[in-house]
Amino acid sequence: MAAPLLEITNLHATVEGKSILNGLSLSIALGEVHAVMGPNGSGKSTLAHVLAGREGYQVTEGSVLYQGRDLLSMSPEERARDGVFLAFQYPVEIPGVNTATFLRTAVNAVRKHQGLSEYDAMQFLKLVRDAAERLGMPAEMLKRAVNVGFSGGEKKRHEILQMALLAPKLAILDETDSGLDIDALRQVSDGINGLRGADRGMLVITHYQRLLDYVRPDRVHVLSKGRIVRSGGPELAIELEERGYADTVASAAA
Amino acid sequence: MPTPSPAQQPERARGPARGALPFAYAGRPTPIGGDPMIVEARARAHARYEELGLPSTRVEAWKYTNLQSLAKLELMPAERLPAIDLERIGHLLPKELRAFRIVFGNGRWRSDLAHLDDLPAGCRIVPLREATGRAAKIVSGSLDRAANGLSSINALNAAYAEDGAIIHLDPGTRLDAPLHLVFVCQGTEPAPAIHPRVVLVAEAGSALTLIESHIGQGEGAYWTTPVIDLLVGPEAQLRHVKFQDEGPSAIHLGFSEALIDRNAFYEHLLISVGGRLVRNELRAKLTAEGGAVTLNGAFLGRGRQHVDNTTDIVHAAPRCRSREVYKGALDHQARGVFQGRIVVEPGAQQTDGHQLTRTILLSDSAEIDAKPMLEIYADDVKCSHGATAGALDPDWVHYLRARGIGEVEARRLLVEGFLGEVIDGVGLPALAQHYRARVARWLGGEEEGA
Repeated sequence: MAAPLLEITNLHATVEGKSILNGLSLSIALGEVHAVMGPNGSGKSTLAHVLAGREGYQVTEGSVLYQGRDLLSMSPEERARDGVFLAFQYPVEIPGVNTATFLRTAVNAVRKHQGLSEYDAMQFLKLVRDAAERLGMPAEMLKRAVNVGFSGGEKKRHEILQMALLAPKLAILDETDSGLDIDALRQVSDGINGLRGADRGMLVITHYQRLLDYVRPDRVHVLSKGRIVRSGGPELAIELEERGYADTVASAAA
Repeated sequence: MPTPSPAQQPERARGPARGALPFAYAGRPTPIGGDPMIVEARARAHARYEELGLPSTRVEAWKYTNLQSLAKLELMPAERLPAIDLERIGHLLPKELRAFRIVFGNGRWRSDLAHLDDLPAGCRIVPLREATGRAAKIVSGSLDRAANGLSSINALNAAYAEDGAIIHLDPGTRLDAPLHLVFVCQGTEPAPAIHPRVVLVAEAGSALTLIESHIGQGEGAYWTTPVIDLLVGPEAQLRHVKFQDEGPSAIHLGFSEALIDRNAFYEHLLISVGGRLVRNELRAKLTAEGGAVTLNGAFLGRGRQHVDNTTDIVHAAPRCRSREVYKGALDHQARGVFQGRIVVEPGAQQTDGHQLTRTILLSDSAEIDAKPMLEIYADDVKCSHGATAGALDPDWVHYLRARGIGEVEARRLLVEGFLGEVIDGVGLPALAQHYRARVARWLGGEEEGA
């Protein structure tokens, strides 16, 4: 049997000397969508950042294998080029850097790594306009600086647009639903669902169940104090919504 | 006859002024025009230069820029004119941008390289050396401002200018293409001292885009003190771009003054890339109600380059507006200076002034001295300033890397974007694009020219 897409084993991580992840284990196969839910401070975003390779997050124990390779030894750009994508919870605003230029540079870096030809500006513009239109993003946004002056919803759509363009193998969505109104949530969810497939795995990190009404997970995990304390099917998300984290976590501990 | 080197020069008769360098460059005044008005104004400017001397770092305005390396240079007045690389001049502006052109070789007007056909009737451009009649009056006025001013460099240039240009726009004259002044310098031994002077008079309601490009040929040392003196008449609109890409051993001490009349608009964009020791000094004075000035600057430094950006915005009349943004990127041991002063004179009520400077330090050894200053002598004003310096925001770098963009490329993209914001401020998109590309090549480590 082929190695799972992502295999996290006994992961411990600290941020500024404070331990946040305390023995997290999780395995995702190609074609699966997993949801990780948990209260604030349970380590959800830390998990996302560790997987994307952000500086300042120290892994003190455990391992992360991506398609059988040691993910933690790879630089952030190597991970991205090899198909790991993180949709950020708080996409950063980058003044002066044109969105279309940024997207083309990123897509070409990934294509080059995959031995594919790079797009020229004209080819790319057509591609990106079509993809943006499908997400309900006005083409005018592509002329603006990266995320500068974007509303919360526009930033999240922009993340999904990047995911569509980069076509990752493993997509990690960090609270992509936060700050979205119901229409934006539907559009973003449609974007995510459109990217589900047998050749891709997803890790959906969320505080609320509502995103999971649109993006139905195969598995749901409950994170508490840096460990997964319960796992189950989609029904677990509904239980969490009804009973709250405190009860669910308490019953898991019992 | 060669001029004696500084070491051989006699002691100054009256001794240098307080704060002057213990070194006086004595050039050789070249006759310009021959009009007695010019001769007299020149003598006054010369006396002023003698009085001021060349500033040492004890002079507040030169605190961060040390001219010792100039004092050590063996200098002679520029005489030999370089053979000019026309291809390089062709690359200074976007290909599709039609422009009128004047070329100066080591400060001397090169009539064989000028493109001034089809100038509108209301625009007259003559070499400084040929100033007569009305042009002579304009020149002597400019020399007198230097003689009465506080700038050593302006006074020195006024005393020793070998050539330059007088540009006169009649009321309502608008040039539909930019006027490009190309200053090409080439070093020799001893190092040539080059003092070109350009005087522009834009009468009421006229409009012009003026682009000055400074390029060096070869690696040799030279010293240049280009002065661009600008009178912006009522309701006139002047866009003034300075692109500084001198040779690697060059000392460039540039000075510009713009006097901005009622409801006039003056816009400046500086791109400073080259040179060893550089000062880009600009003084903009709003002399009558309703004037507006926008100053944008982008400066780059690497190796041991020193680049000083000194600006003075003087609000001398009510209801004027000023906006200034200077941004820099410094690598290696480069040192940058930003001295930006906004003065609001008594009576200049309802002044609206804002100034911002930001510098990105790309190495631990790079350094910026930022000194923003507000001097306000009126009580109904809106003025602010800000200054930041530091490394690139690591969150920006991470975001790009998380999308597959390598670290070097990410930094390049970010710095280009950071400076590009300033460059985009110039009202000509084709030109902005062109300078952005130039900055990108600098960031890519590509050396140009030479």
